[in-house]
Amino acid sequence: MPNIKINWNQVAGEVANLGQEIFHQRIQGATDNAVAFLKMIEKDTIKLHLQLAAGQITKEDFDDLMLDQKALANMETLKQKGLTQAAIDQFVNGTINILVTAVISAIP
Amino acid sequence: MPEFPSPSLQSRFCFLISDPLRSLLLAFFLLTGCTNIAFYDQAAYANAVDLKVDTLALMELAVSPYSSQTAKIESVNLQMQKAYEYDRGRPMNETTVQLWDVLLKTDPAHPENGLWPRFLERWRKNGTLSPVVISDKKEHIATAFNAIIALESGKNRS
Repeated sequence: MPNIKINWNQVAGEVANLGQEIFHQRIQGATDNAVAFLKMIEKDTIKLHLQLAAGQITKEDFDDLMLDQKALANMETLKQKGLTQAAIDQFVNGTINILVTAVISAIP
Repeated sequence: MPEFPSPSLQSRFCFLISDPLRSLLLAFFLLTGCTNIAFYDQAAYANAVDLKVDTLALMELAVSPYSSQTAKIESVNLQMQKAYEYDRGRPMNETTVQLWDVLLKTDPAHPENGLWPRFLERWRKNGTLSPVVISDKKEHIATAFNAIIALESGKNRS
């Protein structure tokens, strides 16, 4: 039987580094996006209240625009969910590459 | 349990299921079955970007009567339907379709949904819209398209 020796410590280290890199970026991206989105909503809400007070928009317009904000919050959540799904796929594919490379390099 | 026909084949099989490789193969087959989301698609990205530009340009026209712009409205609606169906036909693309649903589909259970048809309905009902309302609505519709574009752009390349 061929003598296959895989360095599991090295494989585990590479997988851990990959995970740290990908998920650190994802968490940072999600945090930055959430902060930017909340700032945008805050600014928009203040603007809409001022427009309503100044009579530039009706109450009906205001209510409709506030509904938009709720829809946009849902969309932001969905976007982050999708980007996280993509990050998980990236990690899985990277892990497969590491495993395959480890096997190929271990075959005498 | 069937017997192996020859020692050489049995030996090869033993090689395949030797301990480290067995774990490796198991991990491989588990991981390859775990794709979560569609890959990036250039056509889908272009559809969303083109539609964003066309939609925002159409919204500018809401200062004039709805009835005078029906041809342009129908044209943009048709493009939206095509982009939606394109994304709906892609495997593992449910999250993007859910984004399109919030933008395009009204839902009595979720009155906030249907950003675009709600805009059209206000335009149709009022005849024209004020520049202030149009400007506010344009910001919201642009943000909605940006979410679809950002997700497509953030998907993995195959």
